[in-house]
Amino acid sequence: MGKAWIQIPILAILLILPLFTNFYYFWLFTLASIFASYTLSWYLMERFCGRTSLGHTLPFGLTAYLSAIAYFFGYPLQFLPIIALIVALISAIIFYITSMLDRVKFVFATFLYGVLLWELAPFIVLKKDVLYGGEEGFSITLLPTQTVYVFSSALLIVTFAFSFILHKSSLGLRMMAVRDDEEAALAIGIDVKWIKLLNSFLSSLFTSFVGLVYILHLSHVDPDVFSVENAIFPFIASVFAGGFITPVLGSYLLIFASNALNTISPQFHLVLYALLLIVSPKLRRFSNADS
Amino acid sequence: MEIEQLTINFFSGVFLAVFAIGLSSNFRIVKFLNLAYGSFFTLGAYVAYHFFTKFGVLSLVILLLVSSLSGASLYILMRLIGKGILEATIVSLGFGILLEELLRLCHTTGYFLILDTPIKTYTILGVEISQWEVMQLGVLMIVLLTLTLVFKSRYGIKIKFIEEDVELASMYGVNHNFYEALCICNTSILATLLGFLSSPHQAIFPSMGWSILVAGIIVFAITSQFKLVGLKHYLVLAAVSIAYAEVVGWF
Repeated sequence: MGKAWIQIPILAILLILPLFTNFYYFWLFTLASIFASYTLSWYLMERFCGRTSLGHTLPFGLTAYLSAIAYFFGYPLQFLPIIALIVALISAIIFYITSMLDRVKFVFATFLYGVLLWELAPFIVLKKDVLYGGEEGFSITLLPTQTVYVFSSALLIVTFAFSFILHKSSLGLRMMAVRDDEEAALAIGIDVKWIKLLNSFLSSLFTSFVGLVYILHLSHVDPDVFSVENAIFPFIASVFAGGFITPVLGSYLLIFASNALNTISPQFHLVLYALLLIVSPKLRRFSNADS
Repeated sequence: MEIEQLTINFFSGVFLAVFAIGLSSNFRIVKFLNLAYGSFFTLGAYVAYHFFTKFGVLSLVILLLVSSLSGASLYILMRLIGKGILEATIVSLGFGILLEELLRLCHTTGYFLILDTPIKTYTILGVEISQWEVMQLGVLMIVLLTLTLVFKSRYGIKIKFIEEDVELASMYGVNHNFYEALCICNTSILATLLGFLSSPHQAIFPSMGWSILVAGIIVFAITSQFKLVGLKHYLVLAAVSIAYAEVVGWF
């Protein structure tokens, strides 16, 4: 998992660096920190329970979407963390039920959730004075980027620290025992079902709060929050497995590379995502052998 | 439910059945969930958009070339990179997104495209059904007939063997690589043909294949619960697809 004395300074540099940049890069660094937390939350499930989810857009996107809808109905911003909590609970139950399938079917099922939500989201239309929602999505009030950066940095630090501590704890060891061999874990007295449920909840909880910070940052959400692009992001950002800092670095690199590629042609970054996805099995084997 | 609605849904089910048969045979013979399958469908629609008005039926030759090439490329990538069901599925997802993005990059002038071609219609049970939809029914019949002939032939037993246990099949001398390559290429042609036939009915855009892919996976997952092999599986899959379309409607 790497040494803390290397990983913590790297994280600190990533979080301090934006303070010395212009507004545009500050905004981009904020987005990168949000996606880094998203990847780490996803990594909690992958690393500790061995479940590769392609459906983390469920807690991520649903929190963003429902938060925007709640704001539309006049609920204050202070109410939104409760939505994140509710979505986390619902997602945890769904992931837990899905985790009863084998690992391959888990990937297929979670992928299906994500794409289904992506397909269904445009049908969410609400009427006030005019129609809202649909392909356009929903908006909330714009917060200052500095405020959002405080939230996103804090969330990244908490997710990172939690992952690190969990890895060293007995609970983390029990989770990894379940990941390696469920039957053997059961034989030595580990409550496999409870561990799976707990892992699903923890991963969903962090992802839901990432979804909340995401909507606060962009102040707008549309059906593309459930897109395949967002579903595969943590998978490709963590393709070079290793310590917990590697997925964080991967997320920052992807966000900045995407930004650079989009200057060539809009959405050109998806070509990079596709190519990374194609070679990901080789890269994963390579990095696993290396570690 | 009115008879008109049942008829419309029946033809949607036929369309879904053809799609799901290809998706399912990829899973059962090649052992991966082909997540590029929706993109092959999209590719077929774009071929129709560019070539049908110019070349008419001859554009099917272009379709055949493009789809075989795409299928072969996917097969080669899977053999080179993806080992096992999960990795192969991930490779296919990447390939599908790549295909979709290349189509999008080549059509930056307009996201939604419409194939402007006259559509001949027939009245069936009081519902106007286009000749393209009737052709989809014809394709389903041909596919089921072909599958019946294949499974009755000496190749059928080999395919069943691969479906049930690929390692044992290869130990007994069945060249599973040949059947896998053939399966991917044939089903790619089938998916693009379906996209080609659907193109006059709907707007053509790069991500049009996702909804049909989801519906295809759902009906395949339902049919898998019956644990059937060979021709029976594909017949039940066709029936489940039609039943799904009747219940859910358009997808």
